[in-house]
Amino acid sequence: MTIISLIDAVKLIAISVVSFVSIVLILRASGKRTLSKMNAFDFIVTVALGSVLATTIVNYKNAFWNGILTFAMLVVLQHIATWLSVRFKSVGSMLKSEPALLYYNDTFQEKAMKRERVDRNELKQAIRKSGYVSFEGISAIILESDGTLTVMADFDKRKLEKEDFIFID
Amino acid sequence: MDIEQMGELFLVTFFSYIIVLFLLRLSGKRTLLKMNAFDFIITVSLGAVFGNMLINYRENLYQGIYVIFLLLLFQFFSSLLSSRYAFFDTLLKANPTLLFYEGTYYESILKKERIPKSEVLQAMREQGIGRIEEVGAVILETDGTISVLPKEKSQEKDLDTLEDLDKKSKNRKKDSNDDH
Repeated sequence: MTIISLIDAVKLIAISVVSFVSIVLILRASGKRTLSKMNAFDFIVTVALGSVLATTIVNYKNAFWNGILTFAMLVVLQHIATWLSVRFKSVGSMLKSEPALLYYNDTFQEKAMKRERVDRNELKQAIRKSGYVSFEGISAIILESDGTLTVMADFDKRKLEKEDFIFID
Repeated sequence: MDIEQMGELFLVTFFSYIIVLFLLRLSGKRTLLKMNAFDFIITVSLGAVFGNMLINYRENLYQGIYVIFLLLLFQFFSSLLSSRYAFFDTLLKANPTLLFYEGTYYESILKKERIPKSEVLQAMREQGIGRIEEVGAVILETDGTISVLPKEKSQEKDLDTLEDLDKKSKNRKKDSNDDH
């Protein structure tokens, strides 16, 4: 094992600073939406960005500009994908899956649960996590397109109708 | 880096982006639902493989896509089996554990799960609860988060979300109910 030389150490600092600054600039230019996790894919891209950055810094001798360019490319693609899905409904529905209603009206939606591969214990866990205790008083549980479970309580004994769930056509 | 290389990188990133997007979309929302510690690791691995294969695309591009495909496939089957058969569910997932119930900490469990009381208190605060008396139960979930159930909500209702606790927790809960 060789100990890192002083020149290398200084180089590494310079490389890290340069990558850090370029990454901040690229992300700032593309906006907040790039890192918001609204569908399944966004989180993966966010982690991939981190992985690209790490590899870039570690292998700076071979891959520095490649890395920065790849990072920029991913951000640009993310930008284009969101830009398109806001403007064209068809692109939006292609990139994003619809939310699914898993529990509603005091009944488990067995078909949806089987299709989405979610079991009852996971619904119970979701209820506990949102600070509720019982299925009583829960009006609906929804699997969102980013892969989180939303628990809706029925406050004020207000019964939600199926049509109230805006995503159901 | 010359123009040719930049063009190559552009094409590689563009097509891998589309392929990975397509694969994820195909496997459904459930793949990224983080309901146990394992799901989160898989999600991060997917991202790391994706990032790595772009940087080292000369050696690793097809391997990367193949690995992403395999990870998604295994995730798909493990969630498919565990949503259909209780046996696989208990094999793949730990049961949630009761850490605190109606004013008593379960000291031995806290030790076994390596959770200091300060973290239980932190979980209570994060739920916006200021007094321990307001807490009905605290549960360590299978994904490593701590749920806090407020007392007002746990009274006069059957605690049907506690059905899937592990057996020991259930017994302890019964014991403390008898004491009251």
